[in-house]
Amino acid sequence: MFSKKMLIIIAGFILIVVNIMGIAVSLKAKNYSIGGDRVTLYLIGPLQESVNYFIQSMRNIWNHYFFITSVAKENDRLLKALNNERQKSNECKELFLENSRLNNLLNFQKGLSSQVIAAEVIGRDPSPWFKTIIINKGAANGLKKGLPVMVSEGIVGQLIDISKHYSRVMLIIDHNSAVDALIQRNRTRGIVKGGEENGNCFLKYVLRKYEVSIGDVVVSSGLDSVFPKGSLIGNVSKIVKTGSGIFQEVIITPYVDFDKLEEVLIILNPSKVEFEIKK
Amino acid sequence: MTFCFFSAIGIFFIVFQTSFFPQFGIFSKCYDIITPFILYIGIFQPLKTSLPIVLFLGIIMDNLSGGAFGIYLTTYFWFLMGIRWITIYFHAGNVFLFPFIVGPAVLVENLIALGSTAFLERDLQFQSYVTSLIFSQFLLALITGPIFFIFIQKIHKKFDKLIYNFTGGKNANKK
Repeated sequence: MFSKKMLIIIAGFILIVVNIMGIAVSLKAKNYSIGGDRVTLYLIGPLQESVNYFIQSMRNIWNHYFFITSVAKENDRLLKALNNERQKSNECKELFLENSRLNNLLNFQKGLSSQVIAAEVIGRDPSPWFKTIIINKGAANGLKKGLPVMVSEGIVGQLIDISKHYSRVMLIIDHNSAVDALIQRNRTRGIVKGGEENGNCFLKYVLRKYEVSIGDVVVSSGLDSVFPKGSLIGNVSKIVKTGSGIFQEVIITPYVDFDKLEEVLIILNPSKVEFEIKK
Repeated sequence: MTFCFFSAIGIFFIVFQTSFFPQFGIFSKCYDIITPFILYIGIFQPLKTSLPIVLFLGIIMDNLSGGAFGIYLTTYFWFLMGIRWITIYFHAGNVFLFPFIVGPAVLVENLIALGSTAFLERDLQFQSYVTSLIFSQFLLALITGPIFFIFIQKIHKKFDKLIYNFTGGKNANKK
């Protein structure tokens, strides 16, 4: 009835349609997983960790041995600097004691130390269009999907896939990321979304009527029940008010340098951290 | 044996791309180096060998990427089909063909990834860096694609020779 050529064309057409439908379903059901990601992380994670370890070792060798010639000069300079720093150190000790007292007062330090686990970044997303990283901690360390990932500079992202010993983190600069945020100065709310160029983020849905200034600090609102309230995100670097529309376009520069991320902290119980900060 | 060899090479490239490249800023605009590899096996391996490898690598890449599952699988599968059709149609399967296919392949791959992102976010704003990145990856692929090709070919020949010596010529890949 059909020639062989015709059958190939029909089969090809059906394959294309099925393929497009499959991708569409996959896009809509992004959060659903059959476990392939866990298996992949389980298999590829150790290899990535080994490569990472090798590179770090090579860097250490380079820094410690090949640069040794410059160490003598550096030593003289440092000895002079040391004398100056001793004086400053005394002042710092006083500040440190004051800081410790304030920390104890807020009960913040204790709360965080019991909630946080550190992990090393061992791999990154193979595609430049998606911003995820792979870390060397997983379900065996008590990690769960959705937990917030941070560094001292601010919010890094959220855990999206967990295997036994490795996990994948979606960074806040990814297209799919969304963090409920507010401007610290005047408490104006918005949603921090990734996808801006040069690793910046958008602060979306900020009404035109609210005054936003360049340099304003953006922090998490805590309303998304993921990130602890008041966690640093970035500062406002650009504001565009177009002729029409009820929102203004705000671009923020994250405090975290995502290209240089090496270690991250995962907050195991973000809701409790929020509670303890409030307390 | 051939499946294991090419899968191992593919995994090596994936690990290299996800762990080694990000450590050095110079590679930040590098394209997906699995693409020339997929094209290579599409040209030089029969479908029954190349298809499972392509599907295997596609699944791994999809699981490592933050995008929706199936983007890499789809891209690699159609690259394989496309390259097979091109080699049959043009009767060409050599290094001279390579610069002309790696560049467009990288371009298509980027467009598929961006298309999937745009599908999810209707109000997605494409920034100027998107065009710049696509263009620089395209140029880089045009220039360095054949180098990858020669590199993979050399490893493949060494592997064939090793197998030939090991088995006494019984199971060697004659291609």
